[in-house]
Amino acid sequence: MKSKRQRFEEGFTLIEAVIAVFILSLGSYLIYLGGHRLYKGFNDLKDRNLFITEAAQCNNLLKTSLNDIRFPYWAPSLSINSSVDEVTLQYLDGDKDSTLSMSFTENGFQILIDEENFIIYKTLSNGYIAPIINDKTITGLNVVFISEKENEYECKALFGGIPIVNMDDYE
Amino acid sequence: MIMNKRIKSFEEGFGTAYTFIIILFASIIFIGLAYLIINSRNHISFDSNIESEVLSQDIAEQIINSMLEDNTPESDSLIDPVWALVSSLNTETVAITLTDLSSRINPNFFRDEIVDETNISKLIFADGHSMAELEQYRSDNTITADLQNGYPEFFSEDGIEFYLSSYSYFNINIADELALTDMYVIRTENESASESFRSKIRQSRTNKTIIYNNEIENIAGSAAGKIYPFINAVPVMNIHLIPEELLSEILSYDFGDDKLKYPEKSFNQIIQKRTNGEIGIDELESIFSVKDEKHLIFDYLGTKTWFWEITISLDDCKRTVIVAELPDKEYSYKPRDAASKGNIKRTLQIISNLFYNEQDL
Repeated sequence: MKSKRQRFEEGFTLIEAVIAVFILSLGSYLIYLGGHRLYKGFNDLKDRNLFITEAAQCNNLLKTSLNDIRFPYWAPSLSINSSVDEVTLQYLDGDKDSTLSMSFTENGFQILIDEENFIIYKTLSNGYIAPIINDKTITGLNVVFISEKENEYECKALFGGIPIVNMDDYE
Repeated sequence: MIMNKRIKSFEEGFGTAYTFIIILFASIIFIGLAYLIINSRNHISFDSNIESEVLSQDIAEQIINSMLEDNTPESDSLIDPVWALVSSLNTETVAITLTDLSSRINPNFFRDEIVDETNISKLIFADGHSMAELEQYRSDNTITADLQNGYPEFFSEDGIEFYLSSYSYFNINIADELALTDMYVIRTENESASESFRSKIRQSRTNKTIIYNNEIENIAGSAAGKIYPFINAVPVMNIHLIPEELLSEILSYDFGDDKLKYPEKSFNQIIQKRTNGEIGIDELESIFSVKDEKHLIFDYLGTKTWFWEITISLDDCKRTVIVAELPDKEYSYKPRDAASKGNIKRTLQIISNLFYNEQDL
């Protein structure tokens, strides 16, 4: 009877070798699949993190900026459609001629302060702007960002000053 | 021999690879813990802000609701239930103030006569500035809500803090014609029609007629819906809450050769009555000793406050809410309508609601 050592030294048969190669190939393929999924998962996580981080940063900026939009009580009531991709607001810091614009562009979500300073959030290129309405008055804006994976992030920000609603215009 | 072994072992050091890995591992755990603690601190502080935000909003809403529940909507005085509520809500940790914003001089529309012919100019202007200069500046610029920056260096610090306000409705009977026209254009965007509006106001003043709240349509036509309530005929200031110095000056004004008979007596009566109770619209004629319902005193002084400021300070946070009352179009808030005061429709609107952490400023 051959000892184990002797068998090992004799080598493998062709079938054994084929099976070994097959198992190795299968293993390699599974490792590739796992690796690929892991890589993709990391990339998705990175994109998601970038999206959430930019949306959170933008949320903070919007809250501060819209707080600085102070319509005097006599200003004409604001009119914004239910869902738009571009808005320009007057009365930045209470000054009628100073404006704050925001828009969704191909390059991302852009906030333009007084036609000079602007900031672009590159990962936030998709979404819409909707008015927040309280008792017939537009009191602020709700900016909704939609990621490539269709995740939504809502930024709700209120104006610092709201005009008196002219009831006759509504009744 | 033992000594030699110890020295050798000491020289070899004790930092083996295992020790190094353990130290590295422990470091990672400690860094992780520190990060967790820092984050949880941020989280707690964030939660505390939210709590203050919600609580201050709740207090503001309670105050506004209390104003709406007042049984005498034609008069706002210190005996209204809202003041008792404000007092009860004030604690060691929460400081609440309620301020009448409209019983002051609004430089956006006040006429030169009343400021020049009384000592109001001394109360409001910074040294070297006058009403004539203000009028010129006003006609070159537009109406502004920001008095400090809108009228740079015109007013004294005390003037801005106690006697001036940009929050009050433009009274069609006493406001400056140009300011009224300016407001008309802002509201209607119709510059050509504004001249006709202005000439009707001038005509009414020449004829010494008074326009009432429900007659605005006769003057403004179809634009009335757009200019009301921004231009109206309700009394501008509330005798219950107007600063004493302003009250005294306004009572001493000659109202176009129609001076009050006993301004000092009227002043003392108001101060005494407002300290202990509420002054009704029907008492105004006797307090001013004026029987003529067209007298301009009824456009300057009444019993209503139109704009309120509520501030709520708690922890390091502060909420400032400005509330406007929309005057009932069918009511004049003057002695002529005193009998029908039970039918007044009261509408309040928040026109500014700011919340901020004072540490962030």
